[in-house]
Amino acid sequence: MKRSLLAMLAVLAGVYAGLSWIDRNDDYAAEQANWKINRKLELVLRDPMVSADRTFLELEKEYKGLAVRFPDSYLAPQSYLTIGNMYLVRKNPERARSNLQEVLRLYPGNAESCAKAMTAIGRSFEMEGDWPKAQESYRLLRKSYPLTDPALEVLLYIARVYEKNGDRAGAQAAFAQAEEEYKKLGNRYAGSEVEVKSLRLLANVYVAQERWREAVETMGQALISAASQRALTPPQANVLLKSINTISVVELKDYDLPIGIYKEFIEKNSWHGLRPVLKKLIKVLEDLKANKVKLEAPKS
Amino acid sequence: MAAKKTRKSVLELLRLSVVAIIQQPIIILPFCVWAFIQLLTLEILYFAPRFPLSVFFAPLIKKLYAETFLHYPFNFVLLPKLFHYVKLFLDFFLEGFLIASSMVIVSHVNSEKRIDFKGAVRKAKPQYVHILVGTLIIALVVAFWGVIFELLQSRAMQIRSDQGAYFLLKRVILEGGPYFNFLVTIFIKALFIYLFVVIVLENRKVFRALGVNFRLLRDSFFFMLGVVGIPMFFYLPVLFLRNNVAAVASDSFPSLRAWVIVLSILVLVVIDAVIYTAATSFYLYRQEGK
Repeated sequence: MKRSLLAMLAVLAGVYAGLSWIDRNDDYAAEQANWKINRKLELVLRDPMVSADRTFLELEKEYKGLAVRFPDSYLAPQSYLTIGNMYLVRKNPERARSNLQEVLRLYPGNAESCAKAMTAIGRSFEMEGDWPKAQESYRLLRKSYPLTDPALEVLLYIARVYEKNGDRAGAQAAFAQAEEEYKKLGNRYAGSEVEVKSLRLLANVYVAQERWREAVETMGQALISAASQRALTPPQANVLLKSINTISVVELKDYDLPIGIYKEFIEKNSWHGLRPVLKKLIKVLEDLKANKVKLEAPKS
Repeated sequence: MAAKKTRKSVLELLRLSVVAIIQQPIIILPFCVWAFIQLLTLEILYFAPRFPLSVFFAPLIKKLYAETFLHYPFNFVLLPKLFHYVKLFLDFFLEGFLIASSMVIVSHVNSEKRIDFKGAVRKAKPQYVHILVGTLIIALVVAFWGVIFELLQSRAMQIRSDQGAYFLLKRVILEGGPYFNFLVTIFIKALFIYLFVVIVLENRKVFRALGVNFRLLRDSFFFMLGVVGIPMFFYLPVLFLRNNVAAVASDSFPSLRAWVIVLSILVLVVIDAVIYTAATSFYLYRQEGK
């Protein structure tokens, strides 16, 4: 009896120890370590200006330790990005930049991480009020990593910065450049994920300029294209449908536009799980149209 | 042994069963084997998102759930669910058989005959199919309760009161689910308490054994309810922990979800050993009394 129990315990302990040892340098172990450090960071970021410099230095050391211990993990470049962003929150752009530049130096082949690092470097220059250097970072980002998410989004971001700063001419030019670029990318990479991303960003350009009809039409194209590529996730579908419906009904007061989009979707993607939802939406919109219901945008 | 000295007192019977297990620990061995199988399964599922098991499990988890659950700490959110589904499979094929083996051991210990675990398994093996069918019948009864309770819950959801008796009723039904299921488990366990004993010790086929089970329960159902219910109440703190672990685990200690399952397995080993030893002892006592 005792032998049997000991044997069972030995098997359980052996399996645990063996499998833990095999995986000791893998992503999971890195994620465990990263989670613990992130918990400390969360506490510090509740009031970043109050915490001592030493706390931030300790966190920086821990994240760097993680990158050294797990050099092949996807969390290694992420650690330096986190340090960089941590110092941006702390309003220490120089130290943020020095860590973000480590990403470019140590992981040049990791396009997404490098793109994120360059975006954050741009933000650090903005924090110092140096807009020309920030723009140069964004220009380099688009040149070096053109198809990454940060590079695609940066054109829209620049236009919004001009808008926020009250520079109407700059904003108009930036929006125009973004529109041209997104259309070019959409055409060049038709049928790919880049096309869908470009269409969604183009729709945001139109929304920012209150070009409602073009925005809705572009969102419709993005919806249909993403579904055709089997790349439409439920959260993306949710956002697109809400935007199409709201803008069409509240701003354009046009029910036929979204109905047309949804019918086209059903025709081109007859197999898609979204069909029943769209059929219901078509019915609702047709009822609203028949009852001549007009909705106003909420007054801010 | 326990059966010879048993009077018709629930507490006395349970006490004697505990003493029997301490004096003859071979009785608890089938339950230990059952716990070992469950713990090994839990370990394998815990390591499923990690190399080398991820080679097999990762594509399955990505397809059936999401990529997120392959990463720490989200793997602990999925782990109890995965374990529950795999355990259903193990329950069906193994649990009943191991309980039946333990009953063989108890009967041999009662007759002061020597037996080991292999011998008990060998004796129970010819009745394996009947034990399986018996397990299936119990599972169907549990599933039937599950359907009834779901209907009850959907009806409770329709209650619109936000105060008063109806509101209280709604909250009790919606939040008390795990505890209602706990009480029903006790009831169902007591309802079929003699089934495996009769199948394996009288070598009866399952439907005949069912008849004998209900005949024996006619004058001892509430007694058996006590025999099952009193040890099962020691599981209540574990049940409370299982239902409230999410809040604590997400913030500070994600692997707590796994440790609670381990605790649950270990506590149930002891509880089940006491219940089925007591039930078998009482059955033997009744047979000797005839």
